[in-house]
Amino acid sequence: MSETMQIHSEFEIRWGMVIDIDKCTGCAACVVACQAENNIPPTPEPFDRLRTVYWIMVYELSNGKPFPHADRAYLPRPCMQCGNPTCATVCPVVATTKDEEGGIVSQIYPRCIGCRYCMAACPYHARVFNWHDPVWPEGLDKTLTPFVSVRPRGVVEKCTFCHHRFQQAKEKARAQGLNPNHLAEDAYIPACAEACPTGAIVFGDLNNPRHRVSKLAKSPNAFRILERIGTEPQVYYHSTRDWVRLQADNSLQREKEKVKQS
Amino acid sequence: MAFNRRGFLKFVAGGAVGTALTPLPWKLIDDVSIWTQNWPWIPRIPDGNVESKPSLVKLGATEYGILITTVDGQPITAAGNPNHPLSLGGIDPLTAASVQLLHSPARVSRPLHKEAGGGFRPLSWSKATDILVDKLAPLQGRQGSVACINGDETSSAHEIISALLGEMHSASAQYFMPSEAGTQQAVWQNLLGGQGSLGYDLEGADLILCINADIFGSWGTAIRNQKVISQGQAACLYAGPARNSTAAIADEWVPVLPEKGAHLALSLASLLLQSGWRPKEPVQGLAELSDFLQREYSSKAIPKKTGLSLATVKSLAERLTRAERPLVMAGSLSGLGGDPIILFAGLVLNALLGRVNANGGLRCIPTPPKVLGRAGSVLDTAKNDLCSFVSDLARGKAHKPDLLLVYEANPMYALPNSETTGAALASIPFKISFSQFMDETAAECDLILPAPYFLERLDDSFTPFGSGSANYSMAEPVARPNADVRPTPDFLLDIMGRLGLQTEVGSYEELLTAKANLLGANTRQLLQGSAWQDGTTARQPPLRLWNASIEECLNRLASGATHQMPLSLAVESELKTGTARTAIPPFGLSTLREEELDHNGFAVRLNSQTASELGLQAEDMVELISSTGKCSARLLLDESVIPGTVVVPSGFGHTHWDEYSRGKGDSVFKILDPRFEPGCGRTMWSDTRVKIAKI
Repeated sequence: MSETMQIHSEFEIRWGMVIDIDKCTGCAACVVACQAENNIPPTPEPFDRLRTVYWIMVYELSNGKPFPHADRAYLPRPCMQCGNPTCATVCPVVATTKDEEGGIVSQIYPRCIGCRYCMAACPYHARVFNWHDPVWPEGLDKTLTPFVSVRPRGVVEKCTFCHHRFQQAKEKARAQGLNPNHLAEDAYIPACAEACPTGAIVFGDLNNPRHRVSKLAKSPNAFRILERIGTEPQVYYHSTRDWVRLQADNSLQREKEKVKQS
Repeated sequence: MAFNRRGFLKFVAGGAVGTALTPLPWKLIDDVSIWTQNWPWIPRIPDGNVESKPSLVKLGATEYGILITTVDGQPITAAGNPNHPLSLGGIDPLTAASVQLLHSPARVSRPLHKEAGGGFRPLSWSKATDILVDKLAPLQGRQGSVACINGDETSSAHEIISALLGEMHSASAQYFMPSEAGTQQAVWQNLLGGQGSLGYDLEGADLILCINADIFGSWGTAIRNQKVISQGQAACLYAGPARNSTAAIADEWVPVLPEKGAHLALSLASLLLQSGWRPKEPVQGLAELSDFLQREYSSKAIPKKTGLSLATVKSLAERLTRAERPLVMAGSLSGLGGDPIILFAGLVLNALLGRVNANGGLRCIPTPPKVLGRAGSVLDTAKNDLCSFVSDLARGKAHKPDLLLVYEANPMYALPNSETTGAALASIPFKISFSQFMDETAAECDLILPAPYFLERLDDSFTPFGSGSANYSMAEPVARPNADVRPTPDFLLDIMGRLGLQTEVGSYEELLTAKANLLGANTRQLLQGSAWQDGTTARQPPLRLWNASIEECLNRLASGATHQMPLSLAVESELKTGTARTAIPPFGLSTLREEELDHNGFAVRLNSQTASELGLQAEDMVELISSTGKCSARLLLDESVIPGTVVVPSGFGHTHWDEYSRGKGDSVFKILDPRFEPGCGRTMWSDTRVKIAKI
């Protein structure tokens, strides 16, 4: 854990999210906004997992109880931008690193050799491999954004917290004579957080006490997925429901019971 | 010097060291990796001037201001507009995917004329105009010879269509597609004697009880609803048959069968009156209503009527009376009308709670102004019941028009009992579709005159259903037309001119400017993305809570019906799968989870207890059968569905459009069973029953 803390201390800024699961309706506006912003190609066969690319997915959670005690929740899952990224340590060509101020785990497509070690190492299934070249039907390619390059077959890709927006925000701050390393809250927001109609996704600098995320992440109801494996995700979740928080870890059944009893 | 063994080893070692020290191999590897990722068939991203332009989404669901990002004038993404009162910065998945629809493979790129063999032949706009003028000219003066189905109830295009039909002596033949707004308008004005239209002032409420209406999904101003209620200023309770978008984040979910929602509202009204509660504002017929409720919704009868314990219903009633500013939002599950009874019951409950024209309650929004003197009122058109008309047409009881105009609507797909009603519409001799897309209706029409997509045209929106107060928005094109299209209102004005009919404005732009002036709105500010708002309410005389029609409605409801089919049908409408007008967009399809759609089709959801009783298991392929049709699906067991109900998502089962929606799942509209409810004077299908069989 001390190593983890050391990694965090390397960054003055640590961009992160707090996703309030109790506010998520599962509408998937975040998914669409992400796809449009990051030039993820649409597919007419969404159930063909070899042809679908996602940077953020919305999982449906259930408490597993019968009616009328059944409860349901939705969990949007972007890249966790781990403090200790297991993907980065296994990459043989340094295509994915965590070395930039802000703590965003990068993905450098031209360096990627498609070995997919990072996919195997990522405990969150946040990475996808391009088995095929991306295809936009004629005309739809006119909606490509200039912000993110199109990835060819043979490379791995993942959510970057809309890193280009970070760059744009810094450029804007410089142009305004402001310090690009002290961006105001909401000066930089990923597309998914911007789109969310219930405000379930809150984004900001986890190290900045003036940003909401820094307080929300410290809430007693805040949690991270698979926290105990020590990846130190920069994506936090929030729920007042015990069963939701319990599902955040793949504990043994008896462990869950112990937690419930306590 | 001889090249001996030692020399050879020196050469190899030197070569290896030299290669390792030069950057050449690393540079080559790097270049190879770049070259192999720059094949010409991989699209290149654009480079140009990035701008953000305001627009107004019009896709058949809630309408609100959005911001379109463009690169050198080419739209690329959509985002919510923080300055628009119905967006507040939020966006729904359909709208977020709307830019890609601009280039959908299903776009109609030029006017098309159907040939004898059934195919379409491209033709010029002047030729298309000639054909339409030739068709309309002999119909002038023949009453009811021209009809129009309009899928855009907020646009001022209604006025031009209305003026055209009026001049053609077919003034009452404009029908809006079934909608919550139209159904509520009929109930509000015809049954209750309400004034203007109704708004829901969420911002001022401290407790919101939703009955069936999925206010975070697709009902009313869904984005504003989410933005406002997620602020946490009001508690939100949801009563309905399944955990949908609203139930997912409501403070409490009360499971109620779809057809029992109206009973719940009336039970709450009964408990209020039993407790001595009386409305502060005067109402008519309270004594008669009270007698009826005491008789039919006694404490003993309530559990049977609602399927809930008396304690649960009492608890809800107490929460309503304890709240300072409660608001009841009752409506159909699909948000497409079809349940006038629940709308009526919800309005009655609000009236008893004294929430009409109250802060945080229902607001009587004054009738919108109209520019064209010859146009009818949009509220009157909203009361026309398209389903009744089509049903009568199918049975030969209605006068069949000679010509049908279809504007921004897809009735062949989205009318209940779509196969039969579609056939009735198909029997109209000449049909013209002003569609941007080759949808099910356009494919059946004789002439397709493509209208600009909403991003390509000037259009407006007056107070979309569910707004809290009167509001008006306007947007100009943010993109050059992507096809050979003409704005339908301007085209119709030209047609009127060609026919020698009186036109009061020269262009649609002139009409919109005049409307903004009538409202006192600043056109420039509207086009910059802000909205005109007016909190003025219409003065409301005492509401009628009892008359012969209401009595007929309530008696029919109270008597119940004997069901031949075992399951209630709950239609779930999520915007990621489109609307009644718009099919699943390319990016919408990508949002569907594997359990929602796979190779075998789309999933319908059933409680495990119900499935067990019916001898069904998860992943069974099943057929839902109603008295009107069949629909095939894959069975998903879901404990968050009330027993006795099957939840079926809408938006699937298109037979036209593009590869992103065509052939994906099956259509729930085929199995909706419409019937005319004489008390309300409106068609309802919310009480559709189905049986389910394993395939």
